[in-house]
Amino acid sequence: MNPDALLDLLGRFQAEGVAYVLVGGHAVRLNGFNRTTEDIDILLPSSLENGRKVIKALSFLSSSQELDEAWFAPPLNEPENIRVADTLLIDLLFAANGQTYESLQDHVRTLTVDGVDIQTLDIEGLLKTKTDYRAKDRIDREALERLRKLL
Amino acid sequence: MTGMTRIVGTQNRSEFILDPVEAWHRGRALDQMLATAVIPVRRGVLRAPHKVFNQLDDARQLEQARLLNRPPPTSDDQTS
Repeated sequence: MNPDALLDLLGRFQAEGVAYVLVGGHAVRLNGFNRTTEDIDILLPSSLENGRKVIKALSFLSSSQELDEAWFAPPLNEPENIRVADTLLIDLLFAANGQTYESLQDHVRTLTVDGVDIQTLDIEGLLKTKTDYRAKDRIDREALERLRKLL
Repeated sequence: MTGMTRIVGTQNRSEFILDPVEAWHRGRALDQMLATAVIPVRRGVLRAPHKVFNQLDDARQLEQARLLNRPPPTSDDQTS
């Protein structure tokens, strides 16, 4: 077990072959802007098979027993996301600002931290997931745009 | 007279961290520092649109701000 609970979670995703992309605050941080975040945003494809893998990977959390694999293939027009509030606060998303796992594939990057492969987004991809009306998103957007100029 | 900051030590605290591995570790160090300061989340599974999650998070932030900014107890509060 990895002493970093989040790396441990992502290592479990890797071991189970879960298709996912880390988005949200942790992805913003990986791209260079260190800010606080309380939840772990995971973007998933709509898939029963992938849902089974996610449930298996999360089995170390007692709340995972409440998960239903049918939730992992929601209708595309109105995807219902899933929050797992346990020792980790995990948001399992099927869309982020209208972007999906599939639509962001060109922006997915793999980073390795302490032996764990992390699927996340580049700056362009992250910008697509950020709204222009939420205060937190606007701060991220401004920082990411400044970072992009430094590259 | 303008303010001056004296820096000792070697830790680089630049605004942006361009090495992703370093960025990860600094972010997780930040999480550890704040872990005891945040309001606990009620455990369980919730299924809802993302905007509902955002509303819940905003409400928790407000609750946290209220806790930190409430007026200090007065002597009347302590005797009653």
